[in-house]
Amino acid sequence: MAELSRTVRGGRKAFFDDPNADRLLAMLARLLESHWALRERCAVLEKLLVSKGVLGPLELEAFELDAEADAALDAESAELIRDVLGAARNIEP
Amino acid sequence: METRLNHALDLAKSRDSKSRERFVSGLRAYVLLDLAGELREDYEQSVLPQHLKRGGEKPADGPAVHDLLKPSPTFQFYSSLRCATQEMVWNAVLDSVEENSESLNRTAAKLTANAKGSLELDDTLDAPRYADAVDVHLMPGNYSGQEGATLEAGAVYDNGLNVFAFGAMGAQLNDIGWSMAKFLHLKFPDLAPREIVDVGCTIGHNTLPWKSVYPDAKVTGLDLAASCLRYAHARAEAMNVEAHFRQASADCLPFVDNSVDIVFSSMFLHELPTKMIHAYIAEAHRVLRPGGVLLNMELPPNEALEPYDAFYLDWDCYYNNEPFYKGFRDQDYTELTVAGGFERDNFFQGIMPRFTYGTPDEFRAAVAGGGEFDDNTGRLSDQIQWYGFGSVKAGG
Repeated sequence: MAELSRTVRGGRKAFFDDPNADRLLAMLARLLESHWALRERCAVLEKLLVSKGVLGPLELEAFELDAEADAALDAESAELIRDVLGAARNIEP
Repeated sequence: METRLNHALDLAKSRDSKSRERFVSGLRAYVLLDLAGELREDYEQSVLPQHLKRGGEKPADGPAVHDLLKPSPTFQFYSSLRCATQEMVWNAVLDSVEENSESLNRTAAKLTANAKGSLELDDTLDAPRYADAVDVHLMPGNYSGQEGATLEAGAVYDNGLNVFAFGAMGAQLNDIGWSMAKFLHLKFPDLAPREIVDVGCTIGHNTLPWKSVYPDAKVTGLDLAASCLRYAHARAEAMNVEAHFRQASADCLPFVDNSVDIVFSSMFLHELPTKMIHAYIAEAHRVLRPGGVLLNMELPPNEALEPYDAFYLDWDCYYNNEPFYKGFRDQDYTELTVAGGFERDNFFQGIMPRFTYGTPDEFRAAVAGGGEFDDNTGRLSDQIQWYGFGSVKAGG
């Protein structure tokens, strides 16, 4: 398998006063791309499950989580928020 | 819409890769249509009026517009996101090319085993500095490809261009070739070419329509990059079009004097230093038969555009690793052909809609009307108009 470089000779310019803003925007765009790929995968999975008869067409939307699963997702969501937003905690002004 | 290549070199892509390509293509459309609209609005409704209110003079050219816009947050956001998107174009397809490199080479070998066309490489040709000092279009590896790769640079370009174009350059990325060949056919109805050359053809995507428009002609694509030419040869065979590809430099065309009927190039001159452009046009003049035609599809000259539109197109020169782009567009195209040996009175140019997006009658009417420069001339959008210029060799 050929291994192809991802480095651009000649680089590319930054536009904001602080080039970190350019870096963050590039990361955000990549994150959005990755987020989209996950959404598309979920959408394809749902279609597959419906087409195979595993789920009814509206079953996913109508499904009610039980209390235990609901609480577990609350906890996971809170952990994600703390993890992502907490990443900036140690940066000095 | 999934971004598929409509030929046998299409790669087996993972679900994630297909999703990423769809996303990046959509992001390109968002940046070049939506954000580009906001940028123009910001300039016309805020940046320019404020500048004039402060007693500034109305910008006379693209660089003056560029200077005014640099501090604008809208310009900074647009440009930064456009650069990020450009990098994402190539990034989205590099994994697929890597993963498929063995099967791609096998398929290419099969397609070219009993080829209708041909491939002739010249391993004495080194990539000159002007062509390989930076990765043009922020494309890692550039057109010449990376060490050890055979035709992968061509595959990166084909797949990447398909994402980049967001559906605006034809189903097989060949609308420029179709539009220019049809334009020439309408403009010179008595021309019966036997030899057609496409200079700087890369993967031959705009070479192949010439064979469809002029089936009796021998069609040859030339480029410096062996990797692109290998891919171009296999791609032409995959599409069942007889085309020939040769590795050659634009300043040394491998044809004898007075032997070619049409010398064509597309999106090529703006990647060349001025000295090379002069050398290429003089070479085109040398190889053309009397009555033969030179046609270069290109970006319109700065002198024909409003200052804002000139700035908008030159953005690529400043930020997309295309260092010769503005230098070319600042030239007087008539003078370029005259300096190459063509007669001033034989210069012609054309502005036209995309041939494969309308009916032949609509295209014919538009060509007959002559076309006019506007803010969609050369600007990749869903309303793009192509531009071409050239000349006829005297004595035909």
